[in-house]
Amino acid sequence: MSFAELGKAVRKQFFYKFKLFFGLFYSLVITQAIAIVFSFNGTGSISSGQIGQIHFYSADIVLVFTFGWAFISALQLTTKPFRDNEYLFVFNRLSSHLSNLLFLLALSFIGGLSAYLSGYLLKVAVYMFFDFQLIGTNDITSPAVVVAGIITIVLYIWMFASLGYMVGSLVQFQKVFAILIPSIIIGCLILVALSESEAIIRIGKFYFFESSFLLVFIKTTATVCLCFLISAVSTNHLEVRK
Amino acid sequence: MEVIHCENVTKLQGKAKALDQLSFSIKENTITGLIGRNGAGKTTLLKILGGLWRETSGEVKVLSRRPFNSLYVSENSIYIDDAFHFPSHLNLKEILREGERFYPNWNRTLAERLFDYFEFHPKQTHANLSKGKRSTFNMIIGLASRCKVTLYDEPTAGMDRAVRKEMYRVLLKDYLEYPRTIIISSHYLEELEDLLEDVLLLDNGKKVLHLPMDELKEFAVGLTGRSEVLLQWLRGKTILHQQNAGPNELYAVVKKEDISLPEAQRLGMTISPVSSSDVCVYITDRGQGGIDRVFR
Repeated sequence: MSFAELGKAVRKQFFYKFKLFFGLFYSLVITQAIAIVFSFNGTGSISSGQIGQIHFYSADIVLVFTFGWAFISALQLTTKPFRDNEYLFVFNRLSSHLSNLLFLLALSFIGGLSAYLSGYLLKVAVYMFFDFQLIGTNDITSPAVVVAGIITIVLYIWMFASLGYMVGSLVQFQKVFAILIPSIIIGCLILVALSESEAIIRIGKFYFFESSFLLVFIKTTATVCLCFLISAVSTNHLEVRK
Repeated sequence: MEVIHCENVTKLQGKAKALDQLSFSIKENTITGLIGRNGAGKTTLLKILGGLWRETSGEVKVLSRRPFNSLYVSENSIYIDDAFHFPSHLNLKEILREGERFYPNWNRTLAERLFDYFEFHPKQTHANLSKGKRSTFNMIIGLASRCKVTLYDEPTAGMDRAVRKEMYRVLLKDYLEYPRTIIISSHYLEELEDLLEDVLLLDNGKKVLHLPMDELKEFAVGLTGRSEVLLQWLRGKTILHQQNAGPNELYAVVKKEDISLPEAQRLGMTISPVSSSDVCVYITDRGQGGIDRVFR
Protein backbone atom coordinates (compact mmCIF):
# COMPACT_ATOMS: atom_id res chain seq x y z
CA MET A 1 0.00 0.00 0.00
CA SER A 2 1.61 3.20 -1.12
CA PHE A 3 1.00 6.64 0.29
CA ALA A 4 -0.46 7.77 -3.00
CA GLU A 5 -3.02 4.95 -2.89
CA LEU A 6 -3.86 5.74 0.70
CA GLY A 7 -4.16 9.45 0.00
CA LYS A 8 -6.47 8.81 -2.92
CA ALA A 9 -8.74 6.59 -0.85
CA VAL A 10 -8.79 9.07 2.04
CA ARG A 11 -9.73 11.91 -0.29
CA LYS A 12 -12.56 9.93 -1.87
CA GLN A 13 -13.88 8.85 1.51
CA PHE A 14 -13.66 12.38 2.88
CA PHE A 15 -15.98 13.74 0.21
CA TYR A 16 -18.23 10.71 0.42
CA LYS A 17 -18.62 11.36 4.15
CA PHE A 18 -19.92 14.84 3.53
CA LYS A 19 -22.81 13.35 1.62
CA LEU A 20 -23.19 10.50 4.04
CA PHE A 21 -23.29 12.47 7.26
CA PHE A 22 -25.05 15.56 6.06
CA GLY A 23 -27.60 15.15 8.85
CA LEU A 24 -24.94 16.22 11.35
CA PHE A 25 -25.18 19.77 10.04
CA TYR A 26 -28.88 19.91 10.82
CA SER A 27 -28.19 18.81 14.36
CA LEU A 28 -25.51 21.51 14.59
CA VAL A 29 -28.00 24.22 13.60
CA ILE A 30 -30.56 22.97 16.11
CA THR A 31 -27.99 22.66 18.90
CA GLN A 32 -26.68 26.16 18.38
CA ALA A 33 -30.17 27.65 18.06
CA ILE A 34 -31.11 26.15 21.43
CA ALA A 35 -27.86 27.43 22.92
CA ILE A 36 -28.60 30.95 21.66
CA VAL A 37 -32.02 30.85 23.31
CA PHE A 38 -30.38 29.85 26.57
CA SER A 39 -27.90 32.67 26.15
CA PHE A 40 -30.62 35.36 26.12
CA ASN A 41 -30.44 35.40 29.86
CA GLY A 42 -26.83 36.53 29.67
CA THR A 43 -23.78 34.49 30.45
CA GLY A 44 -22.99 36.60 33.54
CA SER A 45 -24.12 39.75 35.28
CA ILE A 46 -23.06 42.34 37.85
CA SER A 47 -25.46 44.33 39.99
CA SER A 48 -24.54 47.88 40.86
CA GLY A 49 -26.64 50.30 42.93
CA GLN A 50 -25.96 53.29 40.73
CA ILE A 51 -26.42 51.98 37.21
CA GLY A 52 -28.60 48.92 37.83
CA GLN A 53 -27.63 45.57 36.42
CA ILE A 54 -25.03 44.80 33.81
CA HIS A 55 -25.46 41.62 31.72
CA PHE A 56 -22.70 40.01 29.77
CA TYR A 57 -23.55 38.30 26.50
CA SER A 58 -21.15 35.92 24.85
CA ALA A 59 -21.03 32.79 22.77
CA ASP A 60 -19.86 30.75 25.76
CA ILE A 61 -23.01 28.67 26.06
CA VAL A 62 -23.10 28.11 22.30
CA LEU A 63 -19.51 26.98 22.48
CA VAL A 64 -20.13 24.51 25.28
CA PHE A 65 -23.15 23.12 23.42
CA THR A 66 -21.04 22.81 20.28
CA PHE A 67 -18.44 20.85 22.25
CA GLY A 68 -21.19 18.46 23.27
CA TRP A 69 -22.47 18.23 19.72
CA ALA A 70 -18.98 17.44 18.40
CA PHE A 71 -18.50 14.76 21.03
CA ILE A 72 -21.79 13.03 20.26
CA SER A 73 -21.45 13.36 16.47
CA ALA A 74 -18.00 11.82 16.51
CA LEU A 75 -19.22 9.05 18.75
CA GLN A 76 -22.00 8.36 16.27
CA LEU A 77 -19.51 7.94 13.43
CA THR A 78 -18.18 4.84 15.14
CA THR A 79 -21.55 3.12 15.59
CA LYS A 80 -22.61 0.21 13.42
CA PRO A 81 -25.17 1.90 11.13
CA PHE A 82 -22.73 4.67 10.30
CA ARG A 83 -19.88 2.24 9.74
CA ASP A 84 -21.99 0.02 7.52
CA ASN A 85 -22.67 3.00 5.31
CA GLU A 86 -19.05 3.93 5.26
CA TYR A 87 -17.57 0.54 4.49
CA LEU A 88 -19.37 0.07 1.20
CA PHE A 89 -16.77 1.01 -1.30
CA VAL A 90 -13.00 1.18 -1.19
CA PHE A 91 -11.64 1.38 2.32
CA ASN A 92 -9.40 -0.05 4.95
CA ARG A 93 -9.28 0.81 8.63
CA LEU A 94 -6.45 3.29 8.33
CA SER A 95 -8.00 5.21 5.45
CA SER A 96 -11.28 5.22 7.29
CA HIS A 97 -9.72 6.67 10.44
CA LEU A 98 -7.78 9.29 8.53
CA SER A 99 -10.80 10.41 6.57
CA ASN A 100 -12.80 10.55 9.79
CA LEU A 101 -10.08 12.66 11.37
CA LEU A 102 -10.24 15.11 8.51
CA PHE A 103 -14.01 15.01 8.33
CA LEU A 104 -14.25 15.84 12.03
CA LEU A 105 -11.83 18.72 11.50
CA ALA A 106 -14.10 20.04 8.75
CA LEU A 107 -17.12 19.61 11.01
CA SER A 108 -15.29 21.42 13.81
CA PHE A 109 -14.39 24.24 11.48
CA ILE A 110 -17.99 24.79 10.46
CA GLY A 111 -19.21 24.38 14.03
CA GLY A 112 -16.51 26.71 15.38
CA LEU A 113 -17.10 29.40 12.81
CA SER A 114 -20.83 29.46 13.40
CA ALA A 115 -20.32 29.38 17.18
CA TYR A 116 -18.01 32.36 16.90
CA LEU A 117 -20.45 34.27 14.73
CA SER A 118 -23.36 33.36 16.98
CA GLY A 119 -21.80 35.73 19.56
CA TYR A 120 -22.58 38.62 17.21
CA LEU A 121 -26.00 37.24 16.41
CA LEU A 122 -26.72 37.13 20.11
CA LYS A 123 -25.70 40.75 20.66
CA VAL A 124 -27.74 41.93 17.70
CA ALA A 125 -30.75 39.92 18.90
CA VAL A 126 -30.48 41.32 22.43
CA TYR A 127 -30.14 44.84 21.07
CA MET A 128 -33.18 44.43 18.85
CA PHE A 129 -35.56 42.56 21.11
CA PHE A 130 -34.71 43.76 24.62
CA ASP A 131 -34.83 47.20 26.06
CA PHE A 132 -31.21 47.30 27.13
CA GLN A 133 -28.57 49.92 26.85
CA LEU A 134 -25.54 48.58 24.99
CA ILE A 135 -22.37 49.52 26.87
CA GLY A 136 -19.65 47.92 24.83
CA THR A 137 -19.31 45.25 22.20
CA ASN A 138 -15.72 44.51 23.00
CA ASP A 139 -14.86 43.22 19.56
CA ILE A 140 -12.77 45.91 18.01
CA THR A 141 -9.78 43.66 17.66
CA SER A 142 -7.23 43.08 14.96
CA PRO A 143 -8.02 40.47 12.27
CA ALA A 144 -5.10 38.37 13.50
CA VAL A 145 -6.70 38.06 16.92
CA VAL A 146 -10.05 37.14 15.40
CA VAL A 147 -8.46 34.46 13.23
CA ALA A 148 -6.48 33.09 16.17
CA GLY A 149 -9.68 33.05 18.22
CA ILE A 150 -11.57 31.11 15.58
CA ILE A 151 -8.74 28.63 15.12
CA THR A 152 -8.60 28.10 18.87
CA ILE A 153 -12.32 27.41 19.00
CA VAL A 154 -12.01 24.98 16.08
CA LEU A 155 -9.15 23.17 17.79
CA TYR A 156 -11.11 22.81 21.01
CA ILE A 157 -14.13 21.43 19.14
CA TRP A 158 -11.88 19.06 17.23
CA MET A 159 -10.45 17.88 20.51
CA PHE A 160 -13.90 17.11 21.89
CA ALA A 161 -14.82 15.37 18.64
CA SER A 162 -11.75 13.16 18.82
CA LEU A 163 -12.53 12.35 22.45
CA GLY A 164 -16.00 11.23 21.35
CA TYR A 165 -14.43 9.27 18.52
CA MET A 166 -12.09 7.54 20.92
CA VAL A 167 -14.91 6.70 23.33
CA GLY A 168 -16.97 5.29 20.46
CA SER A 169 -14.07 3.23 19.17
CA LEU A 170 -13.34 1.84 22.61
CA VAL A 171 -16.98 0.81 22.96
CA GLN A 172 -16.78 -0.95 19.59
CA PHE A 173 -13.66 -2.70 20.81
CA GLN A 174 -15.09 -3.81 24.15
CA LYS A 175 -18.72 -3.36 25.07
CA VAL A 176 -17.78 -2.97 28.72
CA PHE A 177 -16.57 0.56 27.94
CA ALA A 178 -20.17 1.53 27.23
CA ILE A 179 -20.77 1.29 30.96
CA LEU A 180 -17.30 2.13 32.19
CA ILE A 181 -16.81 5.46 30.45
CA PRO A 182 -20.12 7.13 31.44
CA SER A 183 -19.53 5.93 35.00
CA ILE A 184 -16.12 7.57 35.05
CA ILE A 185 -17.43 10.83 33.59
CA ILE A 186 -20.36 11.04 36.01
CA GLY A 187 -18.07 10.05 38.88
CA CYS A 188 -15.68 12.85 37.98
CA LEU A 189 -18.50 15.39 37.81
CA ILE A 190 -19.65 14.35 41.29
CA LEU A 191 -16.07 14.60 42.54
CA VAL A 192 -15.77 18.13 41.21
CA ALA A 193 -19.14 19.17 42.62
CA LEU A 194 -18.62 17.68 46.08
CA SER A 195 -14.98 17.98 46.87
CA GLU A 196 -13.63 20.23 44.12
CA SER A 197 -11.14 17.54 43.21
CA GLU A 198 -7.84 19.24 42.58
CA ALA A 199 -6.65 16.86 39.86
CA ILE A 200 -9.69 17.22 37.64
CA ILE A 201 -9.76 20.99 37.96
CA ARG A 202 -6.10 21.02 37.05
CA ILE A 203 -6.87 19.08 33.85
CA GLY A 204 -9.49 21.67 32.98
CA LYS A 205 -7.05 24.49 33.65
CA PHE A 206 -4.39 22.74 31.60
CA TYR A 207 -6.54 22.98 28.51
CA PHE A 208 -8.74 26.03 28.97
CA PHE A 209 -6.66 28.49 30.97
CA GLU A 210 -3.88 28.57 28.46
CA SER A 211 -3.11 32.04 27.18
CA SER A 212 -0.50 31.16 24.58
CA PHE A 213 -1.96 30.32 21.18
CA LEU A 214 0.98 28.11 20.29
CA LEU A 215 0.59 26.06 23.46
CA VAL A 216 -3.15 25.67 22.87
CA PHE A 217 -2.35 24.44 19.40
CA ILE A 218 0.18 21.93 20.66
CA LYS A 219 -1.96 20.69 23.54
CA THR A 220 -5.11 20.18 21.47
CA THR A 221 -3.48 18.59 18.43
CA ALA A 222 -1.43 16.31 20.64
CA THR A 223 -4.64 15.21 22.39
CA VAL A 224 -6.34 14.66 19.04
CA CYS A 225 -3.45 12.54 17.78
CA LEU A 226 -3.43 10.48 20.96
CA CYS A 227 -7.17 9.88 20.75
CA PHE A 228 -6.94 8.78 17.12
CA LEU A 229 -4.01 6.53 17.86
CA ILE A 230 -6.00 4.80 20.59
CA SER A 231 -9.02 4.55 18.26
CA ALA A 232 -6.92 3.12 15.44
CA VAL A 233 -5.29 0.53 17.66
CA SER A 234 -8.52 -0.52 19.34
CA THR A 235 -10.46 -0.98 16.09
CA ASN A 236 -7.70 -2.46 13.97
CA HIS A 237 -9.23 -5.94 14.10
CA LEU A 238 -12.82 -4.82 13.83
CA GLU A 239 -14.87 -6.74 11.28
CA VAL A 240 -17.47 -4.91 9.27
CA ARG A 241 -20.95 -5.67 7.97
CA LYS A 242 -21.52 -8.44 10.47
CA MET B 1 -2.35 -17.50 -12.38
CA GLU B 2 -3.97 -18.04 -9.01
CA VAL B 3 -6.09 -15.11 -7.95
CA ILE B 4 -7.50 -16.62 -4.79
CA HIS B 5 -5.58 -18.97 -2.59
CA CYS B 6 -6.68 -20.34 0.77
CA GLU B 7 -4.71 -22.67 2.95
CA ASN B 8 -6.07 -24.25 6.12
CA VAL B 9 -8.38 -21.33 6.70
CA THR B 10 -10.38 -21.60 9.89
CA LYS B 11 -12.92 -19.09 11.12
CA LEU B 12 -14.34 -19.38 14.60
CA GLN B 13 -17.62 -17.77 15.49
CA GLY B 14 -17.90 -18.10 19.20
CA LYS B 15 -16.91 -21.72 19.68
CA ALA B 16 -18.41 -22.94 16.41
CA LYS B 17 -16.22 -23.41 13.36
CA ALA B 18 -17.76 -21.55 10.45
CA LEU B 19 -14.82 -22.57 8.29
CA ASP B 20 -12.73 -25.59 9.13
CA GLN B 21 -9.25 -26.05 7.64
CA LEU B 22 -10.39 -24.96 4.22
CA SER B 23 -7.85 -25.10 1.40
CA PHE B 24 -8.44 -24.34 -2.24
CA SER B 25 -7.34 -22.01 -4.98
CA ILE B 26 -9.08 -20.33 -7.87
CA LYS B 27 -7.51 -19.38 -11.17
CA GLU B 28 -7.73 -16.05 -12.87
CA ASN B 29 -10.78 -15.29 -15.01
CA THR B 30 -13.06 -18.12 -14.01
CA ILE B 31 -16.60 -18.25 -12.74
CA THR B 32 -16.91 -20.46 -9.70
CA GLY B 33 -20.13 -21.48 -8.05
CA LEU B 34 -20.02 -21.66 -4.29
CA ILE B 35 -22.57 -24.26 -3.30
CA GLY B 36 -23.62 -25.57 0.06
CA ARG B 37 -26.52 -25.81 2.41
CA ASN B 38 -27.55 -23.06 4.78
CA GLY B 39 -24.79 -22.53 7.32
CA ALA B 40 -22.15 -24.33 5.26
CA GLY B 41 -19.85 -21.30 5.47
CA LYS B 42 -20.48 -19.69 2.09
CA THR B 43 -21.06 -16.16 3.37
CA THR B 44 -18.21 -16.42 5.86
CA LEU B 45 -15.82 -17.44 3.13
CA LEU B 46 -16.91 -14.68 0.76
CA LYS B 47 -16.71 -12.03 3.48
CA ILE B 48 -13.20 -13.13 4.36
CA LEU B 49 -12.18 -13.06 0.70
CA GLY B 50 -13.68 -9.58 0.38
CA GLY B 51 -11.65 -8.36 3.36
CA LEU B 52 -14.68 -7.61 5.52
CA TRP B 53 -14.05 -10.33 8.06
CA ARG B 54 -10.84 -11.65 9.49
CA GLU B 55 -9.79 -15.30 9.32
CA THR B 56 -9.03 -16.89 12.70
CA SER B 57 -6.12 -18.93 11.36
CA GLY B 58 -4.67 -20.10 8.09
CA GLU B 59 -3.57 -18.16 5.07
CA VAL B 60 -5.83 -16.23 2.72
CA LYS B 61 -4.44 -14.58 -0.38
CA VAL B 62 -6.47 -12.56 -2.83
CA LEU B 63 -4.45 -11.07 -5.68
CA SER B 64 -1.40 -12.25 -3.69
CA ARG B 65 -2.30 -10.16 -0.65
CA ARG B 66 -4.07 -10.76 2.61
CA PRO B 67 -7.51 -9.22 2.04
CA PHE B 68 -8.27 -8.05 5.58
CA ASN B 69 -7.35 -4.37 5.92
CA SER B 70 -5.87 -4.25 2.43
CA LEU B 71 -6.70 -1.16 0.44
CA TYR B 72 -5.49 -2.81 -2.74
CA VAL B 73 -7.84 -5.77 -2.36
CA SER B 74 -10.66 -3.45 -1.39
CA GLU B 75 -10.20 -1.49 -4.59
CA ASN B 76 -9.91 -4.56 -6.79
CA SER B 77 -12.65 -6.67 -5.30
CA ILE B 78 -16.30 -6.18 -4.53
CA TYR B 79 -18.61 -8.16 -2.31
CA ILE B 80 -22.29 -8.06 -3.18
CA ASP B 81 -25.05 -9.39 -0.95
CA ASP B 82 -28.62 -8.49 -0.16
CA ALA B 83 -27.72 -6.73 3.09
CA PHE B 84 -25.97 -3.86 1.37
CA HIS B 85 -26.55 -0.85 3.57
CA PHE B 86 -26.68 2.17 1.38
CA PRO B 87 -27.12 5.55 3.03
CA SER B 88 -30.81 6.34 3.20
CA HIS B 89 -30.56 9.90 1.96
CA LEU B 90 -28.69 9.13 -1.25
CA ASN B 91 -30.91 8.23 -4.17
CA LEU B 92 -30.07 5.46 -6.61
CA LYS B 93 -28.39 7.68 -9.18
CA GLU B 94 -26.24 9.23 -6.48
CA ILE B 95 -25.19 5.80 -5.26
CA LEU B 96 -24.12 4.88 -8.79
CA ARG B 97 -22.15 8.12 -8.99
CA GLU B 98 -20.37 7.28 -5.74
CA GLY B 99 -19.54 3.83 -7.09
CA GLU B 100 -18.03 5.46 -10.14
CA ARG B 101 -15.89 7.71 -7.98
CA PHE B 102 -14.51 4.81 -5.96
CA TYR B 103 -13.92 2.07 -8.53
CA PRO B 104 -11.32 2.76 -11.22
CA ASN B 105 -12.77 0.39 -13.85
CA TRP B 106 -16.40 1.47 -13.42
CA ASN B 107 -18.43 1.06 -16.58
CA ARG B 108 -20.92 3.89 -16.61
CA THR B 109 -22.62 2.94 -19.86
CA LEU B 110 -23.40 -0.54 -18.61
CA ALA B 111 -24.64 0.78 -15.27
CA GLU B 112 -26.96 3.29 -16.89
CA ARG B 113 -28.30 0.89 -19.49
CA LEU B 114 -29.09 -1.76 -16.89
CA PHE B 115 -30.55 0.91 -14.64
CA ASP B 116 -32.96 1.93 -17.39
CA TYR B 117 -33.66 -1.58 -18.55
CA PHE B 118 -34.79 -2.73 -15.13
CA GLU B 119 -36.87 0.42 -14.80
CA PHE B 120 -35.35 2.04 -11.78
CA HIS B 121 -36.30 5.57 -10.97
CA PRO B 122 -33.26 7.81 -10.40
CA LYS B 123 -34.83 9.53 -7.40
CA GLN B 124 -35.82 6.34 -5.61
CA THR B 125 -33.96 5.45 -2.44
CA HIS B 126 -32.44 2.06 -1.86
CA ALA B 127 -34.42 1.43 1.32
CA ASN B 128 -37.73 1.80 -0.52
CA LEU B 129 -36.98 -0.83 -3.13
CA SER B 130 -38.60 -4.22 -2.98
CA LYS B 131 -36.43 -7.19 -2.13
CA GLY B 132 -36.00 -8.34 -5.71
CA LYS B 133 -35.37 -4.83 -6.98
CA ARG B 134 -32.79 -4.28 -4.30
CA SER B 135 -30.92 -7.42 -5.34
CA THR B 136 -31.11 -6.31 -8.96
CA PHE B 137 -29.67 -2.92 -8.10
CA ASN B 138 -26.88 -4.47 -6.01
CA MET B 139 -26.01 -6.70 -8.91
CA ILE B 140 -25.80 -3.74 -11.24
CA ILE B 141 -23.23 -2.25 -8.87
CA GLY B 142 -21.31 -5.53 -8.91
CA LEU B 143 -21.35 -5.71 -12.71
CA ALA B 144 -20.50 -2.07 -13.35
CA SER B 145 -17.63 -1.95 -10.86
CA ARG B 146 -15.70 -4.43 -13.01
CA CYS B 147 -13.46 -5.43 -10.13
CA LYS B 148 -10.84 -8.08 -10.76
CA VAL B 149 -12.47 -10.21 -8.09
CA THR B 150 -16.24 -10.07 -7.88
CA LEU B 151 -17.96 -11.93 -5.08
CA TYR B 152 -21.72 -12.43 -5.25
CA ASP B 153 -23.42 -13.80 -2.17
CA GLU B 154 -26.80 -15.10 -3.24
CA PRO B 155 -27.20 -12.21 -5.65
CA THR B 156 -30.55 -13.37 -6.97
CA ALA B 157 -32.35 -13.47 -3.61
CA GLY B 158 -35.88 -12.23 -4.10
CA MET B 159 -35.65 -11.85 -7.88
CA ASP B 160 -38.33 -13.43 -9.99
CA ARG B 161 -37.38 -16.14 -12.44
CA ALA B 162 -37.36 -13.88 -15.48
CA VAL B 163 -35.05 -11.34 -13.91
CA ARG B 164 -32.82 -14.11 -12.59
CA LYS B 165 -32.38 -15.51 -16.08
CA GLU B 166 -31.72 -12.07 -17.54
CA MET B 167 -29.19 -11.31 -14.86
CA TYR B 168 -27.28 -14.53 -15.50
CA ARG B 169 -27.19 -13.60 -19.16
CA VAL B 170 -25.90 -10.12 -18.41
CA LEU B 171 -23.31 -11.61 -16.12
CA LEU B 172 -22.07 -13.99 -18.82
CA LYS B 173 -22.02 -11.37 -21.56
CA ASP B 174 -20.17 -8.87 -19.46
CA TYR B 175 -17.77 -11.56 -18.33
CA LEU B 176 -16.96 -12.47 -21.94
CA GLU B 177 -16.38 -8.84 -22.75
CA TYR B 178 -14.35 -8.13 -19.65
CA PRO B 179 -13.06 -11.37 -18.08
CA ARG B 180 -12.51 -11.39 -14.33
CA THR B 181 -12.63 -13.80 -11.44
CA ILE B 182 -16.16 -14.30 -10.19
CA ILE B 183 -17.51 -16.36 -7.33
CA ILE B 184 -21.26 -16.79 -6.99
CA SER B 185 -22.96 -18.46 -4.10
CA SER B 186 -26.46 -19.55 -4.88
CA HIS B 187 -29.16 -22.03 -4.06
CA TYR B 188 -30.23 -22.32 -7.68
CA LEU B 189 -27.46 -24.46 -9.08
CA GLU B 190 -29.60 -25.84 -11.91
CA GLU B 191 -30.09 -22.30 -13.24
CA LEU B 192 -26.40 -21.56 -13.01
CA GLU B 193 -25.23 -24.72 -14.72
CA ASP B 194 -24.49 -23.10 -18.06
CA LEU B 195 -22.74 -20.17 -16.45
CA LEU B 196 -20.33 -21.85 -14.08
CA GLU B 197 -16.95 -23.25 -14.99
CA ASP B 198 -16.10 -24.66 -11.58
CA VAL B 199 -18.03 -25.66 -8.53
CA LEU B 200 -16.83 -25.47 -4.95
CA LEU B 201 -19.06 -27.43 -2.62
CA LEU B 202 -18.85 -26.68 1.09
CA ASP B 203 -20.40 -28.52 3.98
CA ASN B 204 -19.98 -27.60 7.65
CA GLY B 205 -17.12 -25.28 6.76
CA LYS B 206 -15.20 -27.97 4.95
CA LYS B 207 -14.50 -28.45 1.27
CA VAL B 208 -16.39 -31.41 -0.13
CA LEU B 209 -15.79 -31.00 -3.83
CA HIS B 210 -13.96 -28.58 -6.06
CA LEU B 211 -14.18 -29.59 -9.68
CA PRO B 212 -15.17 -28.33 -13.11
CA MET B 213 -18.88 -28.12 -13.80
CA ASP B 214 -18.62 -30.68 -16.61
CA GLU B 215 -17.17 -33.24 -14.25
CA LEU B 216 -19.84 -32.57 -11.67
CA LYS B 217 -22.52 -33.28 -14.25
CA GLU B 218 -20.91 -36.67 -14.85
CA PHE B 219 -20.13 -37.25 -11.20
CA ALA B 220 -22.95 -39.62 -10.30
CA VAL B 221 -25.56 -41.87 -11.86
CA GLY B 222 -28.92 -43.06 -10.67
CA LEU B 223 -29.70 -46.77 -10.77
CA THR B 224 -33.15 -48.25 -10.48
CA GLY B 225 -33.61 -51.94 -10.04
CA ARG B 226 -34.80 -54.76 -7.81
CA SER B 227 -33.87 -53.95 -4.23
CA GLU B 228 -31.98 -57.10 -3.32
CA VAL B 229 -30.02 -57.24 -6.59
CA LEU B 230 -29.11 -53.62 -6.38
CA LEU B 231 -28.08 -53.69 -2.73
CA GLN B 232 -26.13 -56.88 -3.25
CA TRP B 233 -24.30 -55.42 -6.20
CA LEU B 234 -23.55 -52.13 -4.49
CA ARG B 235 -22.19 -53.70 -1.32
CA GLY B 236 -18.99 -52.00 -0.24
CA LYS B 237 -19.60 -49.02 -2.48
CA THR B 238 -20.69 -45.59 -1.32
CA ILE B 239 -24.37 -45.02 -1.89
CA LEU B 240 -24.95 -41.27 -2.00
CA HIS B 241 -28.67 -41.55 -1.84
CA GLN B 242 -31.32 -44.22 -1.90
CA GLN B 243 -35.07 -44.29 -1.89
CA ASN B 244 -37.86 -46.71 -2.68
CA ALA B 245 -39.00 -46.49 -6.25
CA GLY B 246 -41.92 -48.89 -5.99
CA PRO B 247 -42.67 -52.31 -4.54
CA ASN B 248 -39.35 -54.12 -4.28
CA GLU B 249 -37.74 -51.45 -6.44
CA LEU B 250 -34.94 -49.24 -5.29
CA TYR B 251 -33.43 -46.05 -6.66
CA ALA B 252 -29.82 -45.49 -5.69
CA VAL B 253 -27.34 -42.79 -6.58
CA VAL B 254 -23.69 -43.78 -6.77
CA LYS B 255 -20.44 -42.28 -7.98
CA LYS B 256 -19.96 -43.03 -11.62
CA GLU B 257 -16.35 -44.06 -11.21
CA ASP B 258 -17.31 -46.70 -8.61
CA ILE B 259 -19.36 -48.86 -10.91
CA SER B 260 -19.30 -50.25 -14.41
CA LEU B 261 -22.28 -49.15 -16.46
CA PRO B 262 -22.37 -52.12 -18.87
CA GLU B 263 -22.55 -54.47 -15.94
CA ALA B 264 -25.43 -52.51 -14.45
CA GLN B 265 -27.24 -52.79 -17.75
CA ARG B 266 -26.55 -56.46 -17.88
CA LEU B 267 -28.14 -56.85 -14.45
CA GLY B 268 -31.26 -55.18 -15.76
CA MET B 269 -31.00 -51.85 -14.00
CA THR B 270 -32.27 -48.62 -15.40
CA ILE B 271 -29.58 -45.97 -15.56
CA SER B 272 -30.52 -42.33 -15.27
CA PRO B 273 -28.44 -39.16 -15.09
CA VAL B 274 -28.37 -37.19 -11.86
CA SER B 275 -28.44 -33.42 -12.07
CA SER B 276 -25.56 -31.53 -10.55
CA SER B 277 -27.77 -29.83 -7.98
CA ASP B 278 -29.12 -33.19 -6.83
CA VAL B 279 -25.57 -34.47 -6.52
CA CYS B 280 -24.76 -31.56 -4.24
CA VAL B 281 -27.83 -32.17 -2.12
CA TYR B 282 -27.10 -35.89 -1.80
CA ILE B 283 -23.46 -35.40 -0.90
CA THR B 284 -24.27 -32.93 1.83
CA ASP B 285 -27.24 -34.91 3.14
CA ARG B 286 -27.52 -34.90 6.91
CA GLY B 287 -27.80 -38.67 7.21
CA GLN B 288 -30.23 -41.32 6.12
CA GLY B 289 -33.88 -40.53 5.85
CA GLY B 290 -33.64 -36.74 5.59
CA ILE B 291 -36.34 -34.56 7.06
CA ASP B 292 -38.66 -37.55 7.45
CA ARG B 293 -36.60 -38.60 10.45
CA VAL B 294 -38.03 -35.67 12.42
CA PHE B 295 -41.55 -37.07 12.17
CA ARG B 296 -40.71 -40.60 13.04
